Amino acid sequence: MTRKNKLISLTVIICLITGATFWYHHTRAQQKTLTIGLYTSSSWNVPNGHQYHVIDYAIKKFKQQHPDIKIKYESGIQQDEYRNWLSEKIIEHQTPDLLIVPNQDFNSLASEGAFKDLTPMMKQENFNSQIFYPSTLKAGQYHGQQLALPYEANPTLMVMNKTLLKKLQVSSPQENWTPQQFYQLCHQIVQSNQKKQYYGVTSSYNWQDAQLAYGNELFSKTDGSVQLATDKARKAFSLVENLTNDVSSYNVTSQLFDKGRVAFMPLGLAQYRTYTSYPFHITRNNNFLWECTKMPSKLAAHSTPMETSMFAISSKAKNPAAAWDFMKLLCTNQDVQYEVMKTNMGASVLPSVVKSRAAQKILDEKVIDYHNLTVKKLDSIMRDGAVYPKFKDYNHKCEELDYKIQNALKAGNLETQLFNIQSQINQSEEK
Amino acid sequence: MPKFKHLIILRRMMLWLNFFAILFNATLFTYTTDYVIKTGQSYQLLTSLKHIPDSPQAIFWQSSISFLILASLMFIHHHNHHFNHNSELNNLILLAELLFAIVVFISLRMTYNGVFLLIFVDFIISNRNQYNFHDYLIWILVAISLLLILLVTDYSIISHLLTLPDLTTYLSFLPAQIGSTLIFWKNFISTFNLTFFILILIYFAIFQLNQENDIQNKLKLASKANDELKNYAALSEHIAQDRERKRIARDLHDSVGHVLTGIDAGIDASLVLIDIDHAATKKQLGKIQVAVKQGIKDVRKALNRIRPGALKNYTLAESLRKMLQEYAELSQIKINFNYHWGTTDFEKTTENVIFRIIEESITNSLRHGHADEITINCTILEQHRYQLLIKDNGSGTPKIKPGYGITQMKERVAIINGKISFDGSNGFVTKVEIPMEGEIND
Repeated sequence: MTRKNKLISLTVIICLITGATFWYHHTRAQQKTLTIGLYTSSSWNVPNGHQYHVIDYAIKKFKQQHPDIKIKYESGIQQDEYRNWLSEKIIEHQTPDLLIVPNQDFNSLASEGAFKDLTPMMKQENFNSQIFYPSTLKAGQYHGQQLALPYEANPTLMVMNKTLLKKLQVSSPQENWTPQQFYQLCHQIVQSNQKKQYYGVTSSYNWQDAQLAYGNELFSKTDGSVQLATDKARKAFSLVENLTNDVSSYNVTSQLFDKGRVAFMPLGLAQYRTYTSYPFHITRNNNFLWECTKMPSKLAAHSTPMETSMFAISSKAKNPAAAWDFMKLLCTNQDVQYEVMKTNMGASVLPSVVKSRAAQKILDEKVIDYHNLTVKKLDSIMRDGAVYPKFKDYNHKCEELDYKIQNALKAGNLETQLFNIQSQINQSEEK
Repeated sequence: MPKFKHLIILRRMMLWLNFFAILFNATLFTYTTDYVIKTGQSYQLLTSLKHIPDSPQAIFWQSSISFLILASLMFIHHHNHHFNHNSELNNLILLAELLFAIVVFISLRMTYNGVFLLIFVDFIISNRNQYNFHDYLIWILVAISLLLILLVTDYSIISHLLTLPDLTTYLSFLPAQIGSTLIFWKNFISTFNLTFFILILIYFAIFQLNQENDIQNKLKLASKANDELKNYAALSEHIAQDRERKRIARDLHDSVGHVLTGIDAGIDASLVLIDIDHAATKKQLGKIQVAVKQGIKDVRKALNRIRPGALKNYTLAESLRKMLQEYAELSQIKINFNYHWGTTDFEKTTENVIFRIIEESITNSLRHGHADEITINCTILEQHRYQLLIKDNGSGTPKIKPGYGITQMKERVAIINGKISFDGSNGFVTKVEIPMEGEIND
């Protein structure tokens, strides 16, 4: 070793040591901060005045147990920008430790491996996953892994115009009504007035709702291929066709419902709660009585369309342990879940919260002159939540299918087109 | 004429080229990522990538730092001579280099595998002396493993087996013109690196062949020189024998010759006297007896001197002292001996010459000058010469007639490039100057 070589090796060693110490401190600092990805507005597109109320409440609670952990979140991200913002963060490699996952983004993010599998952590703690509504928990599963925990849910209710039903002397439906009964009621309403000024159901009751009502799974669980020609599927399609034919392809909008000319309309819980309570019901200017019930379904079919917002830990999380603790607080703590239900207008994912008296209070708060949504009803609706297929391009496929079926419905040749559509969709996937 | 220096320069150029290639590839990731983010196409990129990409900054830093470590390893490898002599150490560092090359390759997300070529070049250059060029098996094994590595690490092949951040996916988000240009440059750099590698390989082969030729030529030269040496050895042996014979002749002449001449003369005298004067004859015979005894002694001495190994057991000074002591004891002469040559180690021939000259001088002083005191000074002169000065208090001689002894002395001194001079004006002085090693005295 000449002197020059010794000098060089010394410099290299010094550089390595300084680098290592710097790295160590850097990681230590990172372990003390927890970053969260959130959007401002509510998940359900309803006006919400307290955008960060719940999260701030949860942070305050969390700080009492973990005073040494700093929690940071970026405010001001709109929900429709959230997916882009998150993609940017992922590509920049600055993914937040804990993310809120909107229902429609879960599949694509999960397939890209953006989330950490929670199963090991749950096993380690003997985590009881029975505390959630089963379908909300299943919303966070992908290919047998639990990647996210549910945070809030927005089930779809069937709301009805009680005033109109009375006026047309049509009986109100039972809580457990079948698609056939549902169709009969709609048919009755359309037939009962000659001027065609009243309608059975708005066009927002679509073919997918009908498939759920018959308990049919269009997509195969294994490879995501479509089966449109099964017996159940045909029944569901014919229901939608009949409904469409009854109104002679007239587009029955929600505005018509607001004007009191439609008997039934599927509506999300959050929207229902918002628009039947002060101050928003004024904007609707309805002058009829509302009521709501479960979506019609065959026996044992989970027919309630339900959106679930979830929280997931990023697979590249720098501080997964703290993220897990905070996530448990958000999703399983009853106080936090109560705040969620109160502020975000959806439903809690915990039966224990939904069935509580406090929840009933929330549901009745500011509601104008009708108290028809009981927690018992809400609980049974939540248990009826549908579970959606889990594969990467589910959203894309659904859109494609929807477009083709809507076209066929408009053209009135859905029956004959089913096989055609099925083979087209399944071929496009094999590309 | 290919030189090894050029090969090293080529290797260095290839190292820089690889550094550039790695920076280029790493920058591609950061650049495209920035572009995608700026143009707001993150979501589309993410959906078309099929998985979560790695941080471009991490790619950049990992790859550049690991390459710097690799480069410094190579630097140490090539500027430290321990590795040239120790093949185990050499293979160890080559293995370390290979490991870091793999690290570089992985940290660049397997988009560039030219680093392995660099390692192979390093292997060739550092092992050029370890294995014989004809050690085909090792070279073939290494070459095959290199080809395998290149095959396995080829991006188009490996991307089928693993999920990698597909660079082409990244680049497809750039404007068409820029994307295709960047792909062109990326491929160009890879190909350029390969070309460089082939160039080095060819150059190395030529260099090796040249070396082989050189070695052949040198071998021929060496065998020629060897033959000459053999001849020379035979000649010098012959010369040595000659010298030996001459010396024996001298010694016999000095000892036995004198004695026999004396005896001959004495016997002649005795033959004449025997009938005239018995007593005188007896006396004469007594003298002859003395002379014969002296002769026997002389012959013994001569034989002793001829016997090999007389000088071997002693340093020059020691053996000189011993010899002088013997003389002093035998001939009742006083010898002052001053030795100032320190521990100079003379060549054997020089030592022999000094030895013989001193012997001869003493013999001469005793025989011709009848001296009873001799002074011998061994000194070093300032002009890088050794001086041997032998002085006696004998009768001396105004005119020196060079006899056999003196001629011998001159001959001997000439052999070792020395000078000898005699002076008989005040006692007899013999002065010898011997040049130091490497000095040639004309």
